[in-house]
Amino acid sequence: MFTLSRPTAARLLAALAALAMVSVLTIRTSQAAFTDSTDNTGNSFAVGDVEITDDDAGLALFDVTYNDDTADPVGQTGCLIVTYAGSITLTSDVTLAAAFTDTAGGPGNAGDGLSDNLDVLVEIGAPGATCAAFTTAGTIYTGKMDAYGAAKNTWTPSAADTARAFKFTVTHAGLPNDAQGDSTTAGFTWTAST
Amino acid sequence: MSAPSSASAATITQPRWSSLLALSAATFYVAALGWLAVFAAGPAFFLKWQPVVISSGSMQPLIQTGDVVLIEDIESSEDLQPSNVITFRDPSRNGTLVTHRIETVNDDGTFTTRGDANGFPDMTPVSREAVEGRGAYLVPMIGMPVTWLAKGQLLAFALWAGVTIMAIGWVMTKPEADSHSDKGAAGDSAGGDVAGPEPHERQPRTTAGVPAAASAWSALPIGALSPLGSFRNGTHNLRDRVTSGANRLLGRRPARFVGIGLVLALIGGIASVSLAAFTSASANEGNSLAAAMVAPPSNLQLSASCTAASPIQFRAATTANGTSTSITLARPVGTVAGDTMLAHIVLRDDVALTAPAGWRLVRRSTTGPFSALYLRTAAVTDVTSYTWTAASNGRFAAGLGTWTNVSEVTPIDAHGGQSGNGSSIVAPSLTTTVPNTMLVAFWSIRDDSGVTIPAGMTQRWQINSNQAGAKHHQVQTTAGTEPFPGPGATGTRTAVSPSSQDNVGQMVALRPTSGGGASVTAKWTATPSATADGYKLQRWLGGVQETEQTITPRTATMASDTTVTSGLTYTYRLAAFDNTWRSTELSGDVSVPTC
Repeated sequence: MFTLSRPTAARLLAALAALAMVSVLTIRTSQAAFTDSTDNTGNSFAVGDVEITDDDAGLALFDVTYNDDTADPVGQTGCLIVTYAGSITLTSDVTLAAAFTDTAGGPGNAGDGLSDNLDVLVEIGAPGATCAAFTTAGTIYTGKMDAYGAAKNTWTPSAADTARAFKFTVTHAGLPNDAQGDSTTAGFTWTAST
Repeated sequence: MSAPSSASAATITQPRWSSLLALSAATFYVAALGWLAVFAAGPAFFLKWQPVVISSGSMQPLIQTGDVVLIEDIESSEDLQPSNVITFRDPSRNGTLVTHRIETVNDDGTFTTRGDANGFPDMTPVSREAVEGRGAYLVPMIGMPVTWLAKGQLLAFALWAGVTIMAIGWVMTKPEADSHSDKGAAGDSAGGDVAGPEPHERQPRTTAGVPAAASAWSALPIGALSPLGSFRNGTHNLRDRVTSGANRLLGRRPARFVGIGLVLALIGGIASVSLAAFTSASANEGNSLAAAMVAPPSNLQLSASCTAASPIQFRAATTANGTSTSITLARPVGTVAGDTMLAHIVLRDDVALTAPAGWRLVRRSTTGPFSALYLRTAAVTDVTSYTWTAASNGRFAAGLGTWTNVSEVTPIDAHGGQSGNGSSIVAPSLTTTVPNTMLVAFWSIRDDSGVTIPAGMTQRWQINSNQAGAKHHQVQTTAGTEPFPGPGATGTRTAVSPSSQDNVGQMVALRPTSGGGASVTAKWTATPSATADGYKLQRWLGGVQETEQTITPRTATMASDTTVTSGLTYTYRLAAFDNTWRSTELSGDVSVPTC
């Protein structure tokens, strides 16, 4: 009896202890994670990070005013370098999203902004290409500015390929009379995700 | 064969505590695994909560990779508040499940989410439809094997599976087997067996403490050692142990595999894998692209006037007479380029007459006295006299007058003539088409008495052929003028002669130049747009656009419109332009006065 009951009792106790531990653990972690008062903004951890930067120094690439319907039809260009500086190795592409805020103005405007009149070409540079010596590795997007749509895939950074140049070219095929006074504010956002 | 039990007193008490501890640990591990699985799977069955395995770490520290989040259905979107953790299908990741926290509820009903460990909110707002549920319960760690499988980390999974199989196998071993093994182990120990990697390892039971190593130890030597078992005293127990381990692995006790299968099924089979993705973003914001605007001119002022055309005026006349085959008339003094000259050549009898260069015949009468009327517009450089040549000798009486402000394009608006016999010389009525014509009447008669022109007309010349012979062999020309406002019928102009003779009356209506008339003048303040090219000035009448003038350059501030009609009210619209762009319009009305 003695030799039989001790392991059985030990197992019983261990099972009960496990139940107790699991109960406490799940309840505590659930409360921590899901109570409405939880606020964990700004936490950081040593498990690794995902960090992406660009060299625009906070300056916009474009500040253009078209003085008449045929001003600058050949295009304005802007270029910057995007660098992945995270320690986690990404397995998916950095994406590039574009957001436009249109403002209508001027005589006889059709209630829209300028983005439907502008053609945008977004190119990604080849590995190692700079803005000064830009060689394209492909077109991320070409089309009307207002038709950009969902974020586009760009490239998957690796240890040997952390930075790429991105070149933007904005052209137009003549701005109609009702485009007078219209404007658009554009933002381009690169996102790296695990 | 088997080891003597004499050593049992020593071996029963000493290894039992360690084996009990190891057994408890193994039991605790298996039980914890089971309970976690039950906690993860139970609510899924009883509360319809959906288990989601977290496969990455952006919700750290509260939610770790491998945790299982149980999410509950959301009745209405109002239930979702900032700080709620939701699992949603991420539109920017092809619908992959993502578990993040709501940061803000947007005005359009979408949610902006962010991983707790992320510095940036997620780029794409989450719609209500994409939300799978809200986190309700968190079961830690239990999903780790699933994430290993999902990520292809097969070594980690295999290690875990091996440990778990061994632990379950051992825990499920009956207590009798434990007791038997204890004895065997004692025999091993006594026999100084050296078959294992650790020759002094006392109990295979320590597999609970070092399960992976034990499992490898147990599994590998099965085939190699079994034939040797009979040679050594301790090999029986060893073989038992090995066989027992092999049995565990080979499934003589399928419950163990059922156990691990149940764990995997509970956590893996029913759970979805959700990312809690690390995200970082870098943006280039504030790019401004704008089209300028052509600023309109300002201060449009319209004025209208109507001034009459300059009236036709008589300048001077010359006359000549004689009997010859030609007659020469001097150019009247003061005649300038553009003036209109009319010559009246009268002969006693019909004769072929040749005009000098530059003169054209207006009309002539060959009945009664020969009366020919010629016209010429004075050139810039012109001769000072003009000679008409007759085919034969004849008696001439001729006059030449000059009028200014006569239309050069259409100097004669109307003309007419008639012959007769008597004391009245009738110049027939004309119908003029424009206002302010000048009527010039010519009377010729075979007489030299001198006619009297009608009242209202001014005589410009009267000359006889003045040759020897009877009066009726003479011939005479008289000219008179009178401004006629018109347009319309002029009425006849009749001169009276003291003697009744053959006569001819002729009259022309000279048309004035088209200068003067009605006009509208527009003045404005120039557009401030430096790139503007100029202005477009439109004239509208009764809602219909009539004309559009282009006025350049940008600095122009005035334009006139001379094609208006007096007495009408027009609307003018003025805009600045730059290629195809036009500014907003200024507009104004103006009434053109009557002249």
